[in-house]
Parts: sequence; C-alpha cells; structure tokens
Amino acid sequence: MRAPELGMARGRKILVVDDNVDAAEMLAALLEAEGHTASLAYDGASAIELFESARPDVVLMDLGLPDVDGLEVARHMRARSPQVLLVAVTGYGDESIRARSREAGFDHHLLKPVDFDALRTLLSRPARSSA
Amino acid sequence: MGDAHHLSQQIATMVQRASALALRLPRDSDQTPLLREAVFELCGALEELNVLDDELREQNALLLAKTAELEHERRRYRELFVLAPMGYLTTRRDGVITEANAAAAELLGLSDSVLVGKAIGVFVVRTEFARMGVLLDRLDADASDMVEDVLVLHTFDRSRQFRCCVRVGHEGGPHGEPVGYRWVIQDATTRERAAQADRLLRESQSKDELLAMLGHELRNPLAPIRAAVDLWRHHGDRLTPDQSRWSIEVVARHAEHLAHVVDDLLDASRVALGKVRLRRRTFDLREIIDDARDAIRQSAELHALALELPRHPVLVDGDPNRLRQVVLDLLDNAIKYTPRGGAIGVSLHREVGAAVIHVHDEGVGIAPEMLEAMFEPFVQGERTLNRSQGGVGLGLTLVRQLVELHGGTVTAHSAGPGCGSDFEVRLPLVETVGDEPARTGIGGLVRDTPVRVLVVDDNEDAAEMLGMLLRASGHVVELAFDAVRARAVAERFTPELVLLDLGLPDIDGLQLGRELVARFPHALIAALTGYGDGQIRQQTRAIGLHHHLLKPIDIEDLGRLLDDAAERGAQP
Repeated sequence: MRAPELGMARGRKILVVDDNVDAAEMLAALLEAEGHTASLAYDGASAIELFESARPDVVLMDLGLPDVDGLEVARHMRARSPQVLLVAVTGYGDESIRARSREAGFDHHLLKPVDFDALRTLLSRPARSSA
Repeated sequence: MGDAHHLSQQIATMVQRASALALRLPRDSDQTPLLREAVFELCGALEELNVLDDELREQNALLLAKTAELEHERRRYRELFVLAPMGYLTTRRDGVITEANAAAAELLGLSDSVLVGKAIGVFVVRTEFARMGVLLDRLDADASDMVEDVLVLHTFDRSRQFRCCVRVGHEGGPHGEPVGYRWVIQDATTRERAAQADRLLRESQSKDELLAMLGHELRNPLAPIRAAVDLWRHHGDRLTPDQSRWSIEVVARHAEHLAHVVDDLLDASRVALGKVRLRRRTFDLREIIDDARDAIRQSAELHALALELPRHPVLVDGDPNRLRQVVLDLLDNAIKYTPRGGAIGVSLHREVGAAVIHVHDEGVGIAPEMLEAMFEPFVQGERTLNRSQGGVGLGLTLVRQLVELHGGTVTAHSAGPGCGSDFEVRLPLVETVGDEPARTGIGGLVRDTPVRVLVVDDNEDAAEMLGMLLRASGHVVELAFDAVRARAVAERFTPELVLLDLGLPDIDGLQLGRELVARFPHALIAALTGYGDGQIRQQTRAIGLHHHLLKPIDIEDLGRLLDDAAERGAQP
C-alpha cells in the first residue's frame, strides 16, 4: 500500500450520509482506499441510528436528506458529541446556507464535488480543531 | 348640562316645599285628606321627575363621551387624509376643490389652503379634457365605486407636466345624495417605478434561487464522478476488477444524468427565451399518443398501461415532436412515481373546442400544496432514493412551457398522497368541416378524403340505397349485382372498401371474398349479410375477411368501416 502524501491520520471512523446512493458509496470507497473505515446512511433517521451505534470520529453529510433536514441531524449529533468532526457536503454553497450549517454545529462546509486535497487536509487533522 | 343641573335643583326645592306643606296641613279640615293625597301625588311625581333627570344626565354623559370619541376618530382620519402619500381631493359637482391633502397640494404645486376654491380643471392639460369627461361619464355609467385613468396634468404655474393616475368616485352627502367627487391622484411615473422596482427585486430573488438550485443539480452528479476519478488516480493500482467495473458504471450513469440535466436546462431556457420555434402542422393527436406508448413500452412493462383513444381523428395545430415530448414526459413521470404493477392510463377525448389528454396513475399521489409548485423548476415530489434514476425536476416545467406555447394548459389533480395523480393537457382543437355533429346520421359518413367503395349485392335495391348513401357523403361508389361483374369492376376500380353480400347468384360469396382478399391486400373487405351465426362468421374470418356485419347495416358501423379502410389505404 502506498503511503499517503500528507501525514494523514489513518483509520478514522467516518460516517457518510447522502441520499444519492452512488455518491455515498463512491465517497466511502475512496475513504476506505485511503485507509479509513466508512459506514453509510442514506437518510436522516438511519444516520442518527448509525451515529449512536458506530460512534464515528467524522461525519460527512449531505444537507438535503429525504426525511429529516440535514441541519437537524447535525444539531442532534453536535448535542450528543462535542468531539465529532461534522462536515457538510452539499451542492448549495451560498453564504446563507454556510451560516446556517455553522450555526447547526458543522465544523466545515464542503461543496460538491468534494475537492480531494481539501478532504485529505481535513481528515489529516488529529481532532476537531475548535474542540 | 347647566340646564340639567338647574332642573335637578328646582326639583329638590319643590320636593322640600311639598314635604313642608304636607306637615303644615290643618289636622281636621274636610279638605285635609284630599289635600294630603294631592301633596303625596305631587311628591311622587317629583320623585319620578328626579329619576328621569338622573337618566337624562347619564345619557348626556354617554353622548359627550361618544362625541369626544368621534372627534378623535375624525382627527385621526383627517391626519391620514392630510398626510397620506397619495393625493386626495374632494370637489363639488362643478369641479371646485373643497378639500385637499398635502400630497395633492405638492403634486399640483400649490399649498393646500390655496388649492381649495380652484377648479380641478385648471390642472388638466387642455388636450386631456375630453378624456376627463369620458372618465366622469364612465363613473356614472358603471355605477362603480371608483373609475381610473392616466391623464396628463400640470402644476398651477404650468412649469411641470406629469402623467397622473387619476381615480374618481362620488362623494355622498349625509343622506347619500351626490354632492361632489372624491379624487385620488398619484404621479404615474412614481407608481410605475415602484412597481418595477418591486418586480425587479422579485425577479432577482427568484433568479438567485434558481441559480442556487441549478448549482445543486449540477454539482450532485459531479460528486460521485469526481470521487471515482480520485479513487482511480490515487488508488487505481489496488482496485479489484469488480470495483473498477462498478466505478465506471457509476461514472457513466452520472455523466449521462448530467448530460440530461444540461439538455433539459437548455431546452427550458430556449423555451423561456422564446427561441423554440414550433414546426406547426395540423395533425391527429392520436398518432403521437401511439408513438409515446411505443417509446416507453420497455420502461412501462412493469406497469399496467391502458390507452384510450377515440375512434375519430382529434386534430390540433401544433408541433408533433414537441407534443410527443409532452406526452412522453408525463408518462415518464407517471412511471417514476408508480410502484410496479400499478396502473397507468393515457386517454384522449374531444370537448367543445378542446382536445383533452389525461395521463393518470395509481402512484404516490401529490400533496395539495404541491399541485401548482410542481411545475416550478427543480421542484420534485417525494424524492427517490437515488435521484440519478429520477428526473432533474425540469420535466414538468418543460411540459407546461411547451403546452402553453401551443396555447393550451396543463394542470395536475390528485386526491392526495397515496391516491395517484392525474395530469390534464388541454389543447385548442382544430374544427373540421363535417365535424362531430355531422358525423351522426347520413352526414356521419363524410370524411376528409373520399373512400372508394365497392358494394356487391344481388339485391339491387339494397345495393342502390347503400350506394346513394355513400355517394351523398362524398365517396366514390361502384355497384355490382353478381360476382363476375364484381371481379371486373374491382380490377379497374381498385376499391379501398368492399361491402360483400355472401349470397350471390353466380359464385359463392365466400369464394369471391377469398379472391378479393388475395388480389387487394390493402382493401378492407367486409361481409354484409343476413346470416350471423357462429359458423358463417368463422368461415368469413377463415378466408380473411376483415369484418362481418349484419343487414341492415348500422350507420355508425359503416362510418367505422370507412375510417378503417382509409387507415389501411394510408399504409404503404
């Protein structure tokens, strides 16, 4: 296995939440290839369930979920865990939605399609920067 | 109030005097009982007067309070009137201004006190007098509350002219009798500018929203594509064949979806910009519905698809390709939101002046608040788990745009979630000569193109009658009373429709029928006979006759034969 270019923290437990199944699975495949463990949820309810059972270090989450607003899900997760790194991954990038995602407890807001280097940089940090 | 006070004092004094009088009455006079009674009555009356006086005072106080309240209200309205941003005027019936507020004074370039007493006409540009007169006439004629027009006015010193929105109504007196006019005047340019600013703001907001949604719709399919590319770029050497195949499929799927989004977007924007030219012609809507059915056959095979088309052409003036796209998009939509095995139906029928297409399904249905919103760009019903399999939320927007380009309407109906949905497209119908009403009775046999009909019957009267009927409806008819003659006529005439009696004098009708079927494969050949039992029907079917009709022939059946014959003839 090739060593990553950046000194990347390996083996992080990552929860990927996206109602676009292909997008979620492809991102998970990429993360696994990078040496992380990824679990998948396609809606808000199962995201919360997995969050409770798998206790991920990082959550990469789309905001437009079919059942619950992604912001709601983030609020719940943030209330349950101050340490988890919450990253919004969405097609909407305007300032108002960024502000709302910050307010809901997201640490970062990445625009789709996710820039791989930006993601690597994020995941290379040992823990939540502001925690 | 002073009087009332005075009155109550007087009453009090009189009561005192009457009481004193009662005490001083002589004890044993004959008059005494009478007098005493009179004094008591007086006292009683005074007491009542006292009560009345109290009530009067109470009412007086109430009245005063009400008056104060009214005065307060009046002042408030006065203030509103004076300070309102629109110009308010009242005039007598001869146009002399009796009241004016600050805005009116400013518009007309005089202070409000000076304005009163001037005739309103002096502010109207001379050439506008006639229109002013028309406006006042309309007010009387319409019996409406207020009438409105835009007139050119000028200031008192004529230094400024301006277009002014003038509204005028009757001013009624205390008993509703007309005493003059109420006027509302507003600089038209200001008003239009405000409306325009409002519209621009709304447009820019919806444009921002649209752009945000557009970004979202384009970025979403890019996400798995870019992730796959990163996977290959950084870990390509370690991918299993399965992973490779899968990731290529995902990329292909989303690239296709992306292309679809871009196509739809370009389509929608072309329509919105008026760049779509309809290639219009008059055509039968039944054709495109048939086409659409064929086009979706594969994706619809998991559903029960029912088609209901009328027997007669439904002509519209439009672009067949675009209207086919409309039907296809609606069908796609129905398929997408209907579970496997669910029924989907397409029907076409004519109403007065309209061709009406219904596409209905037994799918997930539509919440009432979504019925209209659905036609907005990027608005979708319940989201499918993987949106790449769904649409992009532009299909219905396009459908509406295209239908409206044709001068039609499209609406959605649903009893609610879970109750299926129904989309109705209404298009202007092209009325043809000899249309619907004429199609009953004898006129019901008239067609756009005449049909060549051969009638074979040894009953000459029956053949002649039928021939007359068809000729009167504009068709070309030949008669034959026996089989030999029928053969000869058919050779030269090449009929499109043959009505064949089976009991002929020379050759068996079935034999002739078999020959004609072989010789004229494009013709419609129908047995027309008095025999209708199962065996003979089986025989006519066996030799390849297309229909078996019983005498006397029904006009509607005959009409149907003409349609079928024309259709067969039209085939290559």
